Formats: sequence, structure tokens, C-alpha cells
Amino acid sequence: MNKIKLTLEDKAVNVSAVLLSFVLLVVTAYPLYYVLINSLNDGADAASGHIYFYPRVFSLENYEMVFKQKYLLTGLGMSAARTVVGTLAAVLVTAMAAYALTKENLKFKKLYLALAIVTMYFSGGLIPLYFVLNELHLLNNFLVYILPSLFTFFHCLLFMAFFRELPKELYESAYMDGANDLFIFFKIVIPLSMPVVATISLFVGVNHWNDYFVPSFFISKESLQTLPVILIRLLSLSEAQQQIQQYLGNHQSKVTMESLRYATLFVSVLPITLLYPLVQRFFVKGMLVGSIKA
Amino acid sequence: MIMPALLTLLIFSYLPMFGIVIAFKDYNVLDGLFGGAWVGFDHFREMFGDERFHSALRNTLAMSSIKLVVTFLAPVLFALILNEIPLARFKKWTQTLTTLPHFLSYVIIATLAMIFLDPKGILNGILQGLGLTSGPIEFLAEPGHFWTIGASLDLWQETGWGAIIYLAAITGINTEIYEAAKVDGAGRLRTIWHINLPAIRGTIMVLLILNIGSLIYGGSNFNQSYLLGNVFNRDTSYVLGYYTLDNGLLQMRYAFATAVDLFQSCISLVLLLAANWGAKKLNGSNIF
Amino acid sequence: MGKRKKSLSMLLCAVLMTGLLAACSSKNDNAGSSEPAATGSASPSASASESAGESPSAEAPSTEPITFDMFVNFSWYALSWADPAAKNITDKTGVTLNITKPVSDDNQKMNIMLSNRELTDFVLLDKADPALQRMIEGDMLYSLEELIDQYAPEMRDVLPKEALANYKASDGKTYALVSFIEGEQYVEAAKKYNALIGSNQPTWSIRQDYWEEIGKPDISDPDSYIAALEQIQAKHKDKIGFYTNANNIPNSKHLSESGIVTLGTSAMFGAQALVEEGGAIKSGLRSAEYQNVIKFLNKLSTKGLLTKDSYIDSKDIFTQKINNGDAVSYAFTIGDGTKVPADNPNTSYTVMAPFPSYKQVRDGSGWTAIAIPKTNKDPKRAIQFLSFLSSEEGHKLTKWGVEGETYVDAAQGPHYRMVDGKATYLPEYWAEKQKDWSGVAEKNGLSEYWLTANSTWWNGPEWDAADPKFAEYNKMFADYVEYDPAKAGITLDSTTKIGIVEKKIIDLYTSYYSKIIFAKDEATAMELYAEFIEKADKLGLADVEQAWTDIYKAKNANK
Repeated sequence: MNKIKLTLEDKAVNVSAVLLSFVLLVVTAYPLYYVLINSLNDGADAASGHIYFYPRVFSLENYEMVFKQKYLLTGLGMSAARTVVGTLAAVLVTAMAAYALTKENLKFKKLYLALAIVTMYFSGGLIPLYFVLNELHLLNNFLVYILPSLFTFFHCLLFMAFFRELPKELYESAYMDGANDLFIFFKIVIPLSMPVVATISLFVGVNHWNDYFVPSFFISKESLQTLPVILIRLLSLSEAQQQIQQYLGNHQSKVTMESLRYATLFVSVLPITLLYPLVQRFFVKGMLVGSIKA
Repeated sequence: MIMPALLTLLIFSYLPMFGIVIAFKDYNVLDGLFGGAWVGFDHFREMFGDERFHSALRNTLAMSSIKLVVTFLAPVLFALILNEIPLARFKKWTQTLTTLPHFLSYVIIATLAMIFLDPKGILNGILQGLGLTSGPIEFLAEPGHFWTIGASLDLWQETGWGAIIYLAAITGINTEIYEAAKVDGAGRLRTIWHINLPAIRGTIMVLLILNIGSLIYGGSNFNQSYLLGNVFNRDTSYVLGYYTLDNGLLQMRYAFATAVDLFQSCISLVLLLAANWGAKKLNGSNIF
Repeated sequence: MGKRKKSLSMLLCAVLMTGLLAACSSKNDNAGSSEPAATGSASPSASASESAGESPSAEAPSTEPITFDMFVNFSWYALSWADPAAKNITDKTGVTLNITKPVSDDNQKMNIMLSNRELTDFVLLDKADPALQRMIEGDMLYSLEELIDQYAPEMRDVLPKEALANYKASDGKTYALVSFIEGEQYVEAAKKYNALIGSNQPTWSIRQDYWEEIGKPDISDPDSYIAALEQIQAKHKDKIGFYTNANNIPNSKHLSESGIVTLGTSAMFGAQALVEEGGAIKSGLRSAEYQNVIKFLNKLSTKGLLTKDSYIDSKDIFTQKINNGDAVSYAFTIGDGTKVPADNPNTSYTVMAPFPSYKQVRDGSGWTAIAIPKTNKDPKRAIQFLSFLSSEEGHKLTKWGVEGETYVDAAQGPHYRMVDGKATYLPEYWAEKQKDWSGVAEKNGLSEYWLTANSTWWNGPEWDAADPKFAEYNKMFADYVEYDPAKAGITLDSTTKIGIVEKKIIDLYTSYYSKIIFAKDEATAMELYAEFIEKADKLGLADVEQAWTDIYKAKNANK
């Protein structure tokens, strides 16, 4: 690679970029560091607070409690299954719809858009949704994680914004070669939109991973429960002690809530952060190059 | 191609929508979905006559607007800055780590915030140490600070995460354009201004319009209000989500809660359409 | 997409929707009529109850395996029926419980269940939970009398007499069995064993080292207490004089909650939320005791001894600050009243003697209630199960453990021995339990299934008349504790007009109380207080009081 001489401007921009990012990094990362060291600290000792740089009384007890939790492994598995299947399905459905909506010749386009916009803000509420799901036999069914969230208009709009930027010549040359819409979608549009596909996949995936709303209302079978619900239960254990103390009297409360909460947070956040390198791989420049020439 | 999406919407969003009719009834949970006496706009009348509702509405609008102004551009700027980092490894790590606050549950954020803002906490320590203040400031006990605290928390939590979508847009830019710009003698800053920014303009507009639509609904308002609100800052911290919870769900007044929600939905839709129309007029770019 | 494909999918949509709508309407027909579950035929086992002197559960109801679903309306409930105690119960009765609970405490899950009329076999919830009222109104529950008389008449001998007398609905029947009732039987037993006062007794504590520093002056009444605090504060300016945890008042659901009138002073001034005056109930906000509370707090705040922390900090932060030693004196419970501050491990906080105005009124009305919905798959087994749990034998399995003399370990016990006819825990076991409550609970499952706990039998083993610490505490506090069951259960329905008024008054109070406490002097504080009472009256406080009185009269007329 030839060495390009860096201008003064280049250097200045580089340095300020690094500095600013560094400041933001410290500000955002420190609280997480605080959470980490507190989770690695003995619960009772952590109750006195003021642990800022390293654990005062190192203890893996909090994490032990997390991993001893019943159904943790099935919960992990369920969350993973839900995230993978749900993300794939949702991205597919949403992207397809977005593609369709960017074509000017789509019949009833305005109607579809209107329908979609309304759903962003209006909802019948929990009880009617439960009712519908019940009728469709989706309660206590893995599919309840997948089907209702197949389409989110917000993500659709983001896809649309990207697809609009793609040059029209691509389509034209493909049509001329006899391709139909599905072919264009899968062979041309998606490969060129990897950054946005990766991003939306990340959004959808994170939602699936962290969601505790669906499993808490629509699933009662333990083996289908996902990680967030199981982790919340763990915090309940601690709180239960405090509640019961009111009525049983005669025992000391061992406050481990906060450090336990931090430990559960780490267990749930870690898998997502491990996904990052995968996603970043798609944030690569120049995917558009060569396609027009081809 | 649009069929699966359409079906999903119809079944899971439109079908349950008949439940909205509860907002116009005197609904008792036992009545079943189609029962209950019709009371028309009674719930809305109660809502509009309630001083607490108006206070909550005012706070919600104020907080959301401030947040919009303060936090909207930050992710954009951050994405642009990140993009300029020459060290690939540092760039990747920074990007990953700065998104982490987004994952923290609000209960944790609230506890951290309370510790940080405590009269004897770190922030006060720093301010007094630097000589900027003479005595401790009771951040959470003064109504005047709440909106600032809310906006700052959002800024901290969402900047890293929000930058992702913009970064994705930037990486989609054709490298030929960069080469052409270099040949023309453009420096870094000019490149940013003339190439990076316009490329993400479409994304910015979409997100801006959508954010205006969520001015009332959603966001971190409720969590902040519920977890960081207290009797001293209630005048500025009490928001609509809390009002609905307090007077609707917790009181088992399901119909009333639905009515308040319906009101918020209508306003949100109006705001969205207005923003979209405004964008069209000003910029020529809109989302529909 | 081809035109034909499109119209085909449109047709599919239409068909799907019609089908769904048809299903909706047919379901609606069913939803109207509540199906009466099968009421069992006269069961032979009930007639086998010739048990004049025998332990009540000795009759042999069926022990065929059966699984009941139980919904517990508390998000923090931790039990899952997977420990040794549960196994023992299953072995003995054949019953296994499948326990579910919601993730949040906003009644949403309960709402869903109610609106679909899909209740589990048992429902466990707070005895004052509005959902219970809904279920009774909707005729969704079996009345206990009906089931007891048919299948488990021995229960009448086992339950505290208040259980079937004080919890009648407006039709005179009892629909839920309440746990932890502290009735006559209990009070007698507790007094005998010096156990009226437990570690959950609210009290104030003061830092021993600071108190000694100023010569341990008298602090047995408000004025001398304040004087002592002032002296200490002068030497330790960075500490909080008086610290309490009262940040949740804005979230109060009812004006009859004690936190509203005590404002963090717990029982020190004897303020009561409901006051009986000549047969009518009035709000404690009007009482002299309450005015003493606000005057006291205002004095503390004007002298810089009370900070806003007490009304902002969450429970976790409150405990943090106490453990750290940030307070000179704090309000908590006996169990948590002797903490060791982190900045001086050689000292500790000590429990203060109560002021003369200390008064705690307990209504002894219990805590949770368990109900049997009419959708229960086998009401006969259900009531027999509850009967077993309520009996002494049931308590042996759920609370007492194994009888013996020499302690081995938590899992196999033994856990208790009989002393003068009362089961008493072995001190080694009790010490280990105190040290690691949940760890031990996991090992043996004891103390965890309190579904129908009878306080006398439940708390009994923990009472050791010989324990000097608690003998002392009982001497200090026992005279200040009263029982007043007549005032139990006076809660308004939040969905009615008067319930809405009550909520409005609570919100009004929220906007006033902090200003009253932190007013610049007593005159201003009392002015604001008068203003509040005036506005509350305008909103309808008198109507609320009337509603309370009506309930009070109705409850006490049934006796």
C-alpha cells in the first residue's frame, strides 16, 4: 500500500475524532464497569455501596445464584431459538414489504401505507390481543414469539429509505434480462443492502432477546419460557424474603438485591455483545462497487 | 410480496383493535369483551376535566420536545465522528462499548442515577471540587432539574445505539464518490459535509419524522417518571404514562386507561402526519 | 406477484377473518354463562370423620395423584414446589401444585384471566386485592362454607375462629381463606411466650458511639431526642440526623394506608389512618396525633436534622446509607435496628425505647387469601388439601420439620423438639436459618409454603421464652401494641366514584405533604395543613369517611 501523506487537516480530524470518542467511551463504559464490579462483589458487603474501582469483597456468589436458577439453560435455548427464527422471519417479511412499497406501480399503495401507519399508534390493548391469540391457538405456543412481530412499520420505513437510494439502472437491466421481482429482491437488492439488513436484524434480534412481555402474558409452560422472565424470577427470590419478613418476623434480612440484579444483567447482555463482531462485518464499505459494472 | 406483512397486520393489529371500543364503555373486566354499558365520551370528559391529566400532558410534551432537540443530532454527530477514526480496532471497540448503556434495564439506570446525583454523590463532589458550586445541589429534589436530567440520561443511553443506523448508511456510500472527491482536492471536513451528510439525509429525515410522532407515546418518559420521580419533583416529572398507570391499571379502571391511550394515539398520529407534511413542504423529502 | 396470486391471498384473508369473527361470536355466547363446575356427590371420606380427639387430618381422603394449577398474584413469589417439603406434602396428600405468577404487579395478567373467565384451580392474592372482589361479584368462586360442610367439616375445628367469621362477603358467605390471622387464640399464645414483639416491629435506632460521645442523655421523648440530635449534629455535620424511608407515599392506593399518616415516623406518635369516633370512622389526617407528627418532622427539618433523602431514596439506597453509617438515627425494624456502620466497626446502632406516644394498632386480619374458583377440576380434593395444610400436621410438614433432639443439618434436621407442649426450634437450626434464610429454605423447603398459615402454629416454633433479647424487647414494646380487628378490611373499591375521589385526595396530599414537612416554620406548616384539609373537604373527604363508616358498620353488624 502506498503511503499517503497525511495533511494537517487529516491529522487534526483524526486526533479530535479519537479524543471525542474516547470521552464518550469513558462516560458510557464506566457505569457498566461499575455494574460489573458490583456484581462480582459479595452481596451483603455491596449493600454498603461506595465500590468504584474494583470489587471490595470478591465473590462469584451472585453468578452462582444466576446459574443455579431452574430452567436457566432452557431459557437460554428458548431465547436463542426465538431470536434466530424470529429475526430471520421478521427481516424477510419486512424487507419484502418495504421493497414492494418502493415500487411506484404497486396497486393500493396508499391504502397499505395508511393501514400500516395507523398500527403504529393504535392498538386494541392487551385483553383483545390475548383473545385473538387464544382463538388462534397461539397461546403457549412457540409461534407466538414469531408471528405477531413479523412486521414492524418502523423497520419497514428504514428499509424503504435505503432501497430508494439504490440506482434504478440496476432494476432496469435486470428486467431486461427477464428477471421477476422475487429474483431481483433476493439476488440484487438484499446483497446490496447488507448494512441496513444487518442493522435491522440487530434491532429485531435485540428486541426478541430482551422481550419479557410476550412470555409473561402469553406463555405459561415453563419449558417455553425465555431468559428475561427467568432472570426476573431470580430477583423475585430476593425480594420475596423482604416481603415475607413483614409477616414472619424473627429473621434478619440479607439484602442482596442490587448486586444480584447486576449479575443477571450481565448474563443477559453478554450474548448480545458477542454478536457484535458478526454484525460489524457487514458494515463494510463498497458493496455497491462493481454491481453496476457487472 | 407484501402479503405476509399485510396478513400479520390485519390479524395481530387490526383484529384486536375492536378492543378500542372499550374506551367508550363503562367496562368491568367481567363483562367479557363485548359487554359493558355505552357511556360515550364520559371517560374523555373526566380526563379533560382532570387537572392532573393536564399537568401530565404538559410535562410529557415538554420532556419529549427537549429530548428531541437535545438527543436527535447526537447520534448523527457521533456516527460521523466514529467514521473518521483511523484505528480500525479502536473504532470497533468504541462502537460496541458505547451501545451498551442501551441494554441496561431502567431499574438499574435509575439506581445508578440516584447514586450519582445524590447530594453526597459523585457529581456534587466533582462540582464542588472544581469550585463550580458552593453547596451540594439536590438534583432529584428540585423540579427545575428533572427535564435536564431526563434528557441527559437519554443522551447517555441512546447516542451509541442510535449511531448504528447512521453508520450503516455511511458504509453504504459508493467508494468511487470518495475517490472522486479526493481527486477534486476535498479535505476531510468537506468530505463529511458534502458526501457523508447528504447520504444519510434520507435516514435522518425518516427518524426525525418518526420521533416527532412519538412525542407523546413511548420513549423513556414513563420509566424516568416512575423511577426517578418523587414527591419533590412531581410537578415536572409526572407524565402521561404514569397517569394512565396510576388512574387506570392500578385502579382496575381498564376502560379509563384505554380512553387515555386512545387520546395519545390520536395526537401521535396527527403529529406524525403534520411532521410528514412539513417535511414535504420544506425539503421535498417525506416518507409517504 | 401475479394478479391471480394476489386475489387468491385476498380471498384467503377474507375467509380467515370471517372464520375468526364467527369464532368470536360463538365464544361470546359461552362467556356469558359461567359454567358451574361439577359439584361432587356426597363423598364417603367426609363421613369417615369420626375424629373426636384425633388429629384432624387423620381421615383418609383420596391420595390419588392430582395436580392443581395455582396462580399467585405476586410477582415476587419464589416457590416452585420442587423442594423436600413439597415432596413430603405430595407424598402425604397426592397433590402437586403447579405455580404460576405474573411478571409485574399491575394486575394485567389478572385482568386477562378475569375477562376470559379462565381461572386456575387456586388463586392466591392479597386479601384486599380488588380482583378478589371482582371474582366474588362475578360469582366465580366457591364459598368456603359450602365446601367445608360438604367435604371437610373438620376444618371448622382447625381454623382460627376469625377465618370464617370476619371475612364474609355481602351475601354472608366467605369466599377466601386468609393466612396469618392474628386472632384471639394467637394473641394469647404470643403473650405467653413473650413473642408479641418480633423482629419486624417498627422502631427507631440511634448510633451508639455518637450517643455516648455526648454523654448518653435521655432521649425518651421527642423534645429531649431532638436536643440530643442537635448536640450530635454539631459534632458531625456531614451526617443525616434522622433518616427514614418514606418515598412511596405518592403511590399509595388507599387513604387508609398507615404510611400516609405516619410519614416515616412509623409508630412513634401513634398516628392512625382510620380513627373511630362515636361509631363513625374519620380520617386520621384530622387527628391530633397526626398533627404531632407533622410538627415534629417540621421541627427536625428546620433544624437541619431531616433531609429530603428520606422521601426520595429507594429502599436499596436507604439500606446502603444505613450500612455506611450516614445517619445518626434511623427508623426501621428491630431486626434491622442494630446495624454496624462501615466507618466505625467497633460500634453499632441500638434500638431506642419508644416515646410515650408510641402506639401500634394491629388489626390482626392476616395477609394473603386463597380462593377456589368454580373452574377448579376437583373441589373436593381442593378443600381437603387446604384442610390438610391448615392442620397441625400440615404445619409440621411446611414449617416445623423433623422432630428430634440433636441437630445434624438443615436438610435432614432434626429441626424442633417439644418444650412444654409447644414445638420449639433447636437453637442450632434456628441460627443457621437466620444466617442463610433462602439457602436453608432450598435445602428443606420449610417456611416457604405459607398458603394457609395459622400464625400460632407457624410462628410458634420460633418463640423461645428464654431468649433474653426478645424478652427485653417485649418488655419495652408489648404494652404499646393493641389489637383492633374491627377496623380490618375497610377498603374502598377503586373503580367506583368514591374510589376515584379517594385517589384524587391522595394526589392532593402528595402535592402538600412535602411542603408541610419542609415549611420554614411551624406556623407556615400548620397554615399549609389547614389549606390541605380545606381542599380535601372540598374534594369530598367527608364522603370518603362516610363510605368507610358504612363498611365498618356493615362488617361489625354481622358479629
